[in-house]
Amino acid sequence: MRASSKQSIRTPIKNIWGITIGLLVILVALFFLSLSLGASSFQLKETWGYLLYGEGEAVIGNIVRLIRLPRSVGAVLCGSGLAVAGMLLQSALNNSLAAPGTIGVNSGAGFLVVAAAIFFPGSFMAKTVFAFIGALLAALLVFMIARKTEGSRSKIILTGVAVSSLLSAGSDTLVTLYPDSVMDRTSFFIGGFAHTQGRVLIYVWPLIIVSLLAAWLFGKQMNVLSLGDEMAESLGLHTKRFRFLLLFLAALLAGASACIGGLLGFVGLVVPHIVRMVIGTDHRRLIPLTALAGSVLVLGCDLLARVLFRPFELPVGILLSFLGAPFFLFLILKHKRRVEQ
Amino acid sequence: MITLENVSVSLEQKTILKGLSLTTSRLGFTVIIGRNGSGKSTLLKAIAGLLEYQGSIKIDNKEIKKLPRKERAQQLSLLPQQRPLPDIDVETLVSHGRFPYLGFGKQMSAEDRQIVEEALIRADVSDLRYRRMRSLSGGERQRVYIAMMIAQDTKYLLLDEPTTFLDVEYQLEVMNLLKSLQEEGKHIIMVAHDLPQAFSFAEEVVVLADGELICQGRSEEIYNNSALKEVFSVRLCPQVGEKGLYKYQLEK
Repeated sequence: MRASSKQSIRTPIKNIWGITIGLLVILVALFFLSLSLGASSFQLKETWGYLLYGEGEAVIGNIVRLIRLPRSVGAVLCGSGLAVAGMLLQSALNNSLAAPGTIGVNSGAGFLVVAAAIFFPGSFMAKTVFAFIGALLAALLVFMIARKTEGSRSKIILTGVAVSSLLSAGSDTLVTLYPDSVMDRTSFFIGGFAHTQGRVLIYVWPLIIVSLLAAWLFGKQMNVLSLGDEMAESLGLHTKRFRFLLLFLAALLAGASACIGGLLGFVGLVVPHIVRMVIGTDHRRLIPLTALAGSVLVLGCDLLARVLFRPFELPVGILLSFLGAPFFLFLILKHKRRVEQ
Repeated sequence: MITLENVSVSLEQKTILKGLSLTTSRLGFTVIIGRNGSGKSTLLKAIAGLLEYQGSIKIDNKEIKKLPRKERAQQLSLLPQQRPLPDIDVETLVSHGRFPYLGFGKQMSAEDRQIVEEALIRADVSDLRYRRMRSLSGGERQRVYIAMMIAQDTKYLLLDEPTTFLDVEYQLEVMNLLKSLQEEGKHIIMVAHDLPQAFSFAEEVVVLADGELICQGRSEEIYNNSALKEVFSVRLCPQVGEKGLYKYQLEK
């Protein structure tokens, strides 16, 4: 057997279980810190005492139960939803720069959430359904234009920028005409969990969990899709239907996440890339780990956003943009280098 | 046996195949040749069931477009000329060949793993199994893709110019591998642009021009066909002596 002409490159880390358990431990630790720290901080044992035995001062109980528990659960759900939505979009569009924030999916969800708030005030169901429809329509629009123009990587992103700008202009128009439609518009458009309510979570958590499980089930098909349309078809995959299914799931996840934490950017772009760099490209492993890493990132950033300038808090979207934007630029530069090579 | 009856294919409002009728022989190594734009790749994709067509394409008397996808993928495998290069290792890529046989959970059985193992050995890429595809040379990559087709275990293997851009050494390797698969009972149908190579390895040659069938037959019967000379503006002659790579050589 002949020796190969080039040196072997490093095989990605095989110890997936170690990484999974590590991320789970970090997530649980962050979750408890998130319940305890903020404008008013408690001892961990006070939080623990309230959660386990209902002991402690009423004010601690109220802060934990009504404010911090919903926002922490919301951050976990939103982080996993957006991160996996990004991965699904990248697979469906065969474009590593695709994410809910870069191709207009967030803006689509945002536009129709504002519309739902105007026409169906107080209806969380309407908000959720509209967010999903907005996200799906934006994703389909970009997808159809990309197919029609046989779009290159950059053309798809430029299409996304145009669609995103159009839908953001729509949202701005609605908010200008109906200034009281969205309770805290800054928090919604930048993204944050200060106003996340338990009753919203009741509507959206099943959507996110079911969509995440469905995405995981389709991991093998996503692996086959990465071989290219013609080869995937010859292996028996219905690529058109499957891409639509991926967009549908991504829209469900991004729409549901927008209902919880507003229009958070960069999670869907940054997390799948980092996880891919660490564990490789097998989607059956990538999806659960991306969900977990997304939760860790968003919950961690939310915690930081609360404690950095205590008693004031930053919307978590600002912090994520500080992290995500340089990473996006890094990806563009990395891609340029690869093309030049 | 693959039978085409009056097959027409249009892409972007342009008719590429124009009422093509042909039947592949039972000889097992069919090479489709023709000038650029003659419809060779389109014909291959139509046979693979990837394109909408008018007329009839039957594989062992079953209409291709009526076959369920999974069943079709168990009969025909395709190696397109252009494809993205996934960032995966060799063994993972070859194991994708078992996709048409997997059940709902898409988990490979012990038998599937055994077939993948045999395919790696058969295509002589067993030593490369942990290497990333991006770290391989062109010839190695091509053998890995053929290993994937072997794992797919189909009767018909369709390949679109599998030796293009390869060094001569790798071209011969790939062609010899395909020839040995034919001898094991597989039916190879490939598009080629290198005439001496095509005629040397093929049992049967199909010549296309402008979406129409110009001639078809055993290579030794049609190598000096006048239609062939008209299409390519060159003629093929049997190689004299034993120094040449192929059985045929080109002459003006």
